[in-house]
Amino acid sequence: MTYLRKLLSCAALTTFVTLGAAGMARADEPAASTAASTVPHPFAYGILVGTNVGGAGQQTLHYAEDDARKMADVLRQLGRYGNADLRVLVRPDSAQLLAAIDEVAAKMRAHQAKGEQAVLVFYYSGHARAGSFSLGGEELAVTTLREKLRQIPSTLTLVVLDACQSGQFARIKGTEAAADFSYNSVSRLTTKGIAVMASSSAQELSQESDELHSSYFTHHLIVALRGAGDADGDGRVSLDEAYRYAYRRTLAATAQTQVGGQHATLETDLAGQGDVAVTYPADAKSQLELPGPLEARILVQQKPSGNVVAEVQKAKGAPLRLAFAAGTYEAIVRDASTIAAGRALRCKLALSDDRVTALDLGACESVRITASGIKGDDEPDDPVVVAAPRAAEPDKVVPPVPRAVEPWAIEAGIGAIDRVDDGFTSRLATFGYQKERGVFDPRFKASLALSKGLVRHIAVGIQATTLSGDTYRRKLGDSDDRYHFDAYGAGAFVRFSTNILDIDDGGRWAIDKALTPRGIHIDVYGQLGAGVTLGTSSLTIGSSANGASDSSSSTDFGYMIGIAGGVAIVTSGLLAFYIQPAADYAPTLKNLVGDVHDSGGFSVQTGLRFQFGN
Amino acid sequence: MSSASRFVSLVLVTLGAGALATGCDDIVTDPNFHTWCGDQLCSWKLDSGKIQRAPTWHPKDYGVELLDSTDASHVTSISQVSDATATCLELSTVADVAPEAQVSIGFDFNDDGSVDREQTIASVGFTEQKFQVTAPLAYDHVRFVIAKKGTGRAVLAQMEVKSVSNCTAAPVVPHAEHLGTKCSEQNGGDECSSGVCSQGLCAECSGTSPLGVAGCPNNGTCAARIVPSTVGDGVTSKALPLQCDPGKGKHAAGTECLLGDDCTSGVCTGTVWSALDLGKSFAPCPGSFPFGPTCSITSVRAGRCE
Repeated sequence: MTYLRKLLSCAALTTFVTLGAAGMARADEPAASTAASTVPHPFAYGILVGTNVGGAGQQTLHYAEDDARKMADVLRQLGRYGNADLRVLVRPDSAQLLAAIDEVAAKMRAHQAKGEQAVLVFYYSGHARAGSFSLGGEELAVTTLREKLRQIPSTLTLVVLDACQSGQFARIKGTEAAADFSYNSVSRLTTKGIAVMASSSAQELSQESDELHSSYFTHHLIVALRGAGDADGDGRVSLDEAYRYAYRRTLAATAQTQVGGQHATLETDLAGQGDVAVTYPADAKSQLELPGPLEARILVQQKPSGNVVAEVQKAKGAPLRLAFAAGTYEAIVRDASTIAAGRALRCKLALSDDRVTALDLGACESVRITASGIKGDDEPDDPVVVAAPRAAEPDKVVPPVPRAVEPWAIEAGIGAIDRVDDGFTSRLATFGYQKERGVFDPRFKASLALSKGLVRHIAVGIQATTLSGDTYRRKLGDSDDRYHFDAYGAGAFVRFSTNILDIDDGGRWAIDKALTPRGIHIDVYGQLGAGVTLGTSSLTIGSSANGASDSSSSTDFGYMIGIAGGVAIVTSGLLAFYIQPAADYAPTLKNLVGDVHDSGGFSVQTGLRFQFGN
Repeated sequence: MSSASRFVSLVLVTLGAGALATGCDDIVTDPNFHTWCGDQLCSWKLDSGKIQRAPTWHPKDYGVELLDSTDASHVTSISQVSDATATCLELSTVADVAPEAQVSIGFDFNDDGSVDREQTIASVGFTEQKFQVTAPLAYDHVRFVIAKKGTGRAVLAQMEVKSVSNCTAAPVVPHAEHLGTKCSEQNGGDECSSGVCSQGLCAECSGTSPLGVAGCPNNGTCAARIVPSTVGDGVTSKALPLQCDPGKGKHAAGTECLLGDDCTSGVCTGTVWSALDLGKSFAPCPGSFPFGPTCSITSVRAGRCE
């Protein structure tokens, strides 16, 4: 089952920048929390920006705006933020964004004047290109935003950027962004200053997932903040823990995509001691507890929306608590044994306030795993969309590979080819031979090919095809003569293709040149080919009067060159239907006078392309 | 007209119509030179020189190659006689002929040995050459003659002759045709060696011709010979020309004659008679005059007195 949607143009930029100097980590803990705190909670503010629309040449994102809302939700539910302190900006322009920052900065200055601690969380999910954020049709320079945020007199500023090459934002100290997680940088984490968390390094692209309905990075970061990242079980998720979890899960999920592994980065310029708590899952009124002995992948979907709220690879050991809003959920649990049996456990969950709901596997229903989802034994058609089966190892997520490069494919086409009149056929006419024509004048054409993408947009292949042929008759005196010939070609081709329209399985469409592993996408392509040809011919000269005839056959060889173009409609990533006009030049059949017949000609074919492999 | 005469006329009209009908298709037999009897074409007569089969556009689609002649005449020639009497002949040929080979196609109307129209073949590399010949107003045979008078490659792939209806040129006027040969009185006897064309045949006199009277010397009688006929003795055959004193032995040596009794010497040689057997579905009658009792004379071409 194809799992993720790959974005080949720049996607989303996520960074946490902590510019202030106060202690989220020292915020108050509820009495029931295991993360008790004696420090008063600082004033906290959040600016969360989501924009699906990019600038010129950038495709429309699907989940950036939802991600901003989800991030606001988790901060609101678990981060001890008040509703009024969180401001979600959907598709703002530069002026709106800068105005929002200025507004928060004014409040921060007021807190500073009073000696109060204040925290700012700035989240951005959207397009970015080298050196700037894409806000609709405008570009906001990274340096502008960075300086704007640094000027805010907050105690602690946490910046999360989910965008392409977002790591470049984190060069707050003029140093290179870390390509890999470095504990040393986190070990210096203190309670004052700035932290920048980016969804990808300064050279990487960020990716969205249709399966998760989110970007990879934001999804895993949110799951971490809901409790999956609470490695020490203290009931709160620190910046360090959230980063560790999001880094691992994002890298594992994107490692085998065609775009490549996505390395989240964290750079800090903090002073002081202690870690920074970002969320407090233990504060949540409703929680889901995954049993300690459970070792499985658990996908939690909110009902009835079907939104994926968590996807966790639970390791054997301590119980794991995830904080969710009260409501109805469904968990799909797959461990090694159920995967081997082609089944999974479907667990219906009802989370209510003020209680921890344990996942009771005994109450779960065993269901079949199908290519399109999971079905109950008695359910004819109610697939549950889940992530593709994964490897058993917690950090070895193997998502399906998207098709930036065309996979191996077998192509079979049929159609018709026109016949070329040239010196060869004129010579036949000179000798009295006339074409034998049926109701359908063009000749049937069939071809078979094997192709494989080399790089994006370019594939090569080999093919065998029939070319034109014909039958000529001559009635002269008592003689009824017949000349018949056929030609065949075999060779190689190179194909240049590009996507012009995507229609994903959710019915969304975009003229964005993206490749969708699911749904339908329409490609246009051009093709150049060359090869060798074989021509066979037979001549029967006979007298109808006495029944005597003399037959002979001969073989000729030649070459062919061809050009073709077409439109391919690719469905489900496995099957493509194409229609292809083409023109071939194939001088093959020769006569004693020196004429050579072009067995090519104009043709139109339709066919199917069966894709297989990766 | 007697019933006998009407019957003969009907027969002749039927035969003529049959000939015309034949002319609608290929007039030449084996036009693509495919039928070989040993090293000779079955339907073509080799008059001089040598020929052989030769590939054309395809190794197995043969034509005929006229080889360089070693004869004293240096001519290689093949010919074929057709009974067709079309008024307009269209000839097309596909040939590969070197210009120095000097290949021509001749038309010998009435097959009297003299070519009345000749067309040079200038076809290199198996290209098609086509031309039309307006046939004489009256003739009963035509002989096609393909002759090579020079040296060099000369391969003919096919030679089609068809009866068409769009000739614009004036009809060919044959020359020096023998007594008894078909002619057109419109030509004023130009095609006849006697200078007289009467009743559609080259004649010695035209005593009853409305276009002019050519009398016989010495007050001789201008009449057609009376020959025995199945349709009744004493009937003058339409195929026999008018003669001066036929059967009176008055023709000197070297003059045209039909039978020996025309000649002072009593010997007439070279006369060609044709007759059809009315009792055998109009099959040609074998032999020469006098024919069998059921044969009807259809043509005669005069010989010469010894």
